[in-house]
Amino acid sequence: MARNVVLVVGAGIAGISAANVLADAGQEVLLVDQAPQAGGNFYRQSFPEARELPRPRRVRERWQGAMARLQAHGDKISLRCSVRFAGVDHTGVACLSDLKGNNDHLLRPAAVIVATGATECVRPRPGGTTPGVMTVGALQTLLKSSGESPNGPIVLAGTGPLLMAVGAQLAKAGNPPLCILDTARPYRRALSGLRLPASYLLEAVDYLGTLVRAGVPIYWGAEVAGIAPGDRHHRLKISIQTRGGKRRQIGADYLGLHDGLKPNDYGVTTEPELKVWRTGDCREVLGARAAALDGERIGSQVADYLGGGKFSDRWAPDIARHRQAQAVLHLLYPDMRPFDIAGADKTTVLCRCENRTVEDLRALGQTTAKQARLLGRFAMGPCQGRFCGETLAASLTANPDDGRSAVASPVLSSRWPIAPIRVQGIVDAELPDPSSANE
Amino acid sequence: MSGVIHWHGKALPFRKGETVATVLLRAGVVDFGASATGQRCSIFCGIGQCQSCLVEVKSRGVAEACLLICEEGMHLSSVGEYPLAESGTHGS
Repeated sequence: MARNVVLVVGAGIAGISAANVLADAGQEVLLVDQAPQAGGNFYRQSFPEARELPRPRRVRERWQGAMARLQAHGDKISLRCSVRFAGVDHTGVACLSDLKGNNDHLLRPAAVIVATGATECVRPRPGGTTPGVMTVGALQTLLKSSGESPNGPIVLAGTGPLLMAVGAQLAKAGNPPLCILDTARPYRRALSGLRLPASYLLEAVDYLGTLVRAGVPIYWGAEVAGIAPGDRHHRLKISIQTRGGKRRQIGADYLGLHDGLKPNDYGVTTEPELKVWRTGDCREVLGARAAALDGERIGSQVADYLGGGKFSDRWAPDIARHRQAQAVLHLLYPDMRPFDIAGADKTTVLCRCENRTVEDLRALGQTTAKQARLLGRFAMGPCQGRFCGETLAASLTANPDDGRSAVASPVLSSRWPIAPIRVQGIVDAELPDPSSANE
Repeated sequence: MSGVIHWHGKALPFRKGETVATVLLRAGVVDFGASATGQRCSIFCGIGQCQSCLVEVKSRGVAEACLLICEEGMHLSSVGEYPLAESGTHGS
C-alpha cells in the first residue's frame, strides 16, 4: 500500500471522527479495529443477531450520524475489523495482524492516528484472578455486544462513575447487581458536583433512579477485601469490608472490578520515519463526547500536516469544558490510595500473565524494576505489563528505606510488537517496497 | 442460533457474528482451563488487552475468546490441549 494512506487505529467515535475529517480533506484512510465491529467501547454495537440494548435517542443519533458520514466516504475510507495493530517499527513500517487467521499486512502509511480508547485500572486483590472476576468494562462489553447480561448474580466494586452506569445498564437488562461497592464518598462533595454540566447531572440522576427502582444498594466507602472460589450455589465468595470496618461475605457468580481509567497507549511511539498521533481517550481520558471532538481536531491537524487544509483549533473550548467536568468528577471520585505491598495478603497475584504474587516480589528482596522483570518475571507476560505495571512501580518505590526506591529503569518499556501476533503471519507478509516511501 | 462450536467436544450453539466469549459464558463455562504459567484462563478485560481469555483453536493455535468470532464447526479447548503438530498455524 502506498505512502498516501493514513492509518487510523481504533474504530470508536474518536477514530471514526478523525477518519471522516481526513476524508473531507481528500485523504485516503485505512481504519482498523481489533473488535469484530466498529463502535469502540461507548458505542459498542450488538452482534448481528443479538438483541439491541435500549439506548437514549441522542446516543443512537450521534452514532448513526458518524457512521452515515463514514459510509458516504466509502471511496476514501476503508474500514477493516478483526485487525490488530501490532505497532510501528523504526523504519516506518506499520504491522497489522489479521485475527481471522489471514496473513499479516505490512504498510508504510503517511501518518498514523491511534484512537484505541482507555484501559481500566484494576488493583490486585486477594483471589482477584478467580474465574468470574472481570473488569466492569468487560461486563459492559458482554452486555452491549450480546444484548443480554451474563446469567447469575453480579457484584460491582472499585471506584468511579462507571460502576453506577453499568449497574443501571445491568438493571435495565433484567439482572440488577446484588450491590455496588465504591471506595469513594461523592456525597461529601455534593456541592462541587453541582458544577458538572447539566448533561452529566441528568445522566447521574438517570442511573441513580434506575438503581433505586431496582433496589440495588450502593455501599460508599466500601471495598472488596478478598475473593475465594464459591460453593455449589455461587461461583464466588466475596469478602466485603464496609466503611465502618465490618466484614461480611456475599456469594455471586460474577464480580466486576474497576478502579479508574487510563489512556490505552502502550507502545505508541513516534518513529523518525513516521509520525504517530493519539486522539480521544487514548490521548486524554475525557469521555465519548470529547473523544468525538478530539477525533475531528486531530484528524484536521493530520490533514494540515499532509498538506490538505488549514488547521485552526476550533474544538479547544468544547474539549476544555469536558476537561473541567472530568476534574470535578475526580474530586467526587478521588484515586484510591496506592496499593500497599507491605500490608497486602501474600497470595495476591500482582502479575496475572506470569502468575506472580506479592510473596514472589517480597522474595526478591531489594530489587530494581529491571531485576523484578528479569529475575522475577513480573510484567513479562503477553499483556506486556499493561495491567500490573503501575502496581509494580508503586510497590518498588513504596518504601524508600529498603533500597527499592533505586528504580532506575521504568517498569514498562515499549517493545515491538505491542501485542502478540502469529509468527507465521508476519513471515508470510510482504514487506512494502522502501521506494514507495518516496511516492 | 446459526450454528455450533465445540468446546472440549461439547457442541454449543452460537448466533452469527458472536464471539467465543459470549457463547462460553452463556453455556456457564467461565473457567477456560490453566494457562502455561498455571493461572486460570477466563474473561478479564473483555476487549483484547489482557490476554487472560486465551483458548486453543484446533488447527489454528491460540486466540483470545473475547475477540474470536465463532465459525461453524470450530473446535476449541483449553490452551495446550491439542498436540502441537495438529495446531500449527497453517492448518496442515
